[in-house]
Amino acid sequence: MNVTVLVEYLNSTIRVSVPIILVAIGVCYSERGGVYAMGSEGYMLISAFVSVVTMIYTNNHFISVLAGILSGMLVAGIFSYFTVILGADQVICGLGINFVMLGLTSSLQRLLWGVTGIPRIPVMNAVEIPVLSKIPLIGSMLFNQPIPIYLTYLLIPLVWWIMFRSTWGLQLRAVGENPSCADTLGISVRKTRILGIITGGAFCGLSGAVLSLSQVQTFTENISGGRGWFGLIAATFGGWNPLGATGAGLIFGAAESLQLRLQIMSKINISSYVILMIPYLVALLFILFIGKSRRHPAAMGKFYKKY
Amino acid sequence: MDDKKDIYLEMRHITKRFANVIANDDVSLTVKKGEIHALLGENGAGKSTLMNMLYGLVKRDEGEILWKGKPVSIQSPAEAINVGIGMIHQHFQLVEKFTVLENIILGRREGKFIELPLEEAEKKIQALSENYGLDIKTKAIVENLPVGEQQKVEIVKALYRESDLLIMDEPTAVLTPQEVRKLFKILNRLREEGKSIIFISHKLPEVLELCDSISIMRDGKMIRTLPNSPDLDSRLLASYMVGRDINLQVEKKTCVPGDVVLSLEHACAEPVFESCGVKDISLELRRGEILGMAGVDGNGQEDLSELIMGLRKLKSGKITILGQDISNYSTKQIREMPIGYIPADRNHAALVLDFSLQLNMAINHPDKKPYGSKWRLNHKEIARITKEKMKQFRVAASGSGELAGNLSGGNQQKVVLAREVGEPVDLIIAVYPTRGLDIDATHFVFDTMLKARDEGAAVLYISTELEEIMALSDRIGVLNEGTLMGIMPREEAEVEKIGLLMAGEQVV
Repeated sequence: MNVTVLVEYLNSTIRVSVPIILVAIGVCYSERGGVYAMGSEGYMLISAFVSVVTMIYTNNHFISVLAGILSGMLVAGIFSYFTVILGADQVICGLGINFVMLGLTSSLQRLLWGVTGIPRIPVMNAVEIPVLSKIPLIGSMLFNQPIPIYLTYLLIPLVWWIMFRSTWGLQLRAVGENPSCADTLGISVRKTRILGIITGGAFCGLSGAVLSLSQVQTFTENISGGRGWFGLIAATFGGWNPLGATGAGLIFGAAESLQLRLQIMSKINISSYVILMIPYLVALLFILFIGKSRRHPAAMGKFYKKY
Repeated sequence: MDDKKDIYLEMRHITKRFANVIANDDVSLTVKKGEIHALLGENGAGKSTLMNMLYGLVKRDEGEILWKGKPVSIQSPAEAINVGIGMIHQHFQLVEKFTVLENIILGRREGKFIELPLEEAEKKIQALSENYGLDIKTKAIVENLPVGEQQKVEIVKALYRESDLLIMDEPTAVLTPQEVRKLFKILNRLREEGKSIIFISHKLPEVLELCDSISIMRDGKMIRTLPNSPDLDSRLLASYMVGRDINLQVEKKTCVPGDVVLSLEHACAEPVFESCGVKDISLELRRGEILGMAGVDGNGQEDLSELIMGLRKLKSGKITILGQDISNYSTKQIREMPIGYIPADRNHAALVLDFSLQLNMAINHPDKKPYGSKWRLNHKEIARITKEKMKQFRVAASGSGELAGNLSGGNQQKVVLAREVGEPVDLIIAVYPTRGLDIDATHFVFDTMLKARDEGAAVLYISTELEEIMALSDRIGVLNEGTLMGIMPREEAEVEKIGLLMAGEQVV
């Protein structure tokens, strides 16, 4: 493998990883508060759709990304109403969200644009950061990317700080570990959880917007293709720590990116189906390894009933 | 002394109804500055409801609360904390995976989204520690701390919020005698500093030793409040609690041990979940004796009993009952021997709450005569036996068809006793048999155990209540972390010595 290929590979790894990392961070928010983030795939899908549609009408990347984030938050808000207020089963409800969002986005797409599909939208150009991008290897890998990716760089440490150094982060983690303890201290379990879920929805929304606007440049049916689930696994593998989740997200990204490279290389004589399997196999391995080693937040999945 | 400004708390004419039950009926309580005020009462007397209303966890229907002379609403714990009331629950409200420091600063009201005040809190905690003689390590993870230390964290947590009144719900229930001494020292120090404490307990000697005033509740009513004085004794307080004169003494015949019924040789079992397992326990239990097993909750009591009953796999060693090696027996096989088993968890392991008393009575051997055969239950016969045993064990219920879940704790335990020791048995394994019971039901359990022993049964009596162990046992063993720290005859057992063993210290 020569250097150009390697640089290209690393660059694409980052690009492919970012949506997964963003979802993983979103999952951290929801699950640290004690609520399974099963609906992350659904939040991604609605946001990918909404941001592309907004882009077509406004031709403004900033507004489109914002619209995507808001749609993710809205759907997460609905999920939080069912699970945190009404006490619906978190897993079933999350799966329901995913199916409804898949159906909704697919049919709206057909309804609005028929079989021709959504038109392609303008490229979100990479912005080269002077000086930094000249660092060999790492420079073009990290610092020659579209803006949302730089935003992600900034978000990761910020999210870590909020989770582990802010008062709200401490309260969120307490609610996920021992809600009745938080309750006796006058912390509202419901409000804290709902805020955690909706923040998670915002990150999944950002992820969906980045995926459709800067990578696929259109909306296709089931565009997220399991990235929401990858994010869920990455968060678990990273121990619900944004930094760990980022690491795990990078591994997924590397596998996905490898899969894309291998498909292009015509010389390799392996069935494309096998190549397509690579990221999923990595996910499977992850699940095998985390089977026992991760201790999830103690109150995860449990409805907290207030008397 | 009776100056108005010395009064911290006044609860006036508080009433609370749950559905049709009046949990608190026109209850009033006054707590002065710098006093330790005992709140006494049996289970279900309304103590917890009253305190939960004071802390804002339960909303009151009627009545008012005055704090330092001013009326306060207190509709939520946040409001209670704000006026200066702190509560330490019987089950500690700590986040186990957090550090001590994180637990203490959790729930700070001001500055919601801002940075955690780690350094500033550290200093404040240090000052509190020195002032009140609490020595706590702020960096430790709570789940790694012993219970006594966790309790100190709870106290600091309340002090950090500048509480002037601490509500402590059964604070000594989980402590060794030595830890109780340390706690009392801390509480005395708090009193000197002008803090008030409401001390909820049912342990009368502790109340008499520590408290300045004593309020007694019964059936949701405040019976009386009296200042502590040397004239008071446990018997008098107990009679106020129950509403009539009662005898707290346990009358016991001399022990005549017979042949060995149960023997464990180097028995080991793996821990499950958070338990500590059984570590190399050897003991012998004879006919006609009660072996009391003391220890702080969670030191292998349930592991040991479940191991004997075949509910856990024996990792190594040997267990013999009535001469048979039962090491590889299933629970069903062990159940076919004449053994009575009173499990720790009455609501889940001992009874099916949604079943009638009849079915609960037949549940051990539904396929055996007289309860039924392989194919059908003999409902008539089961009903007859149930009614007979209900009379014999004085179970108060509407009939044998009543659901077990509708009975009071005491009556439920009587049903369990009727089933397990209603027929003559050779061995009784009883785990926490008096937990949550009132004084009457507790004494019924004692009498049943002593009667079985006098009739030749061997009794393994596992309890966290040291007083009970001392009253009933012929020999006393102590469990710590799944290890049997020692066994001694009752005559040689001193509270101090047992306390040290409970804490895991070797005593020569």
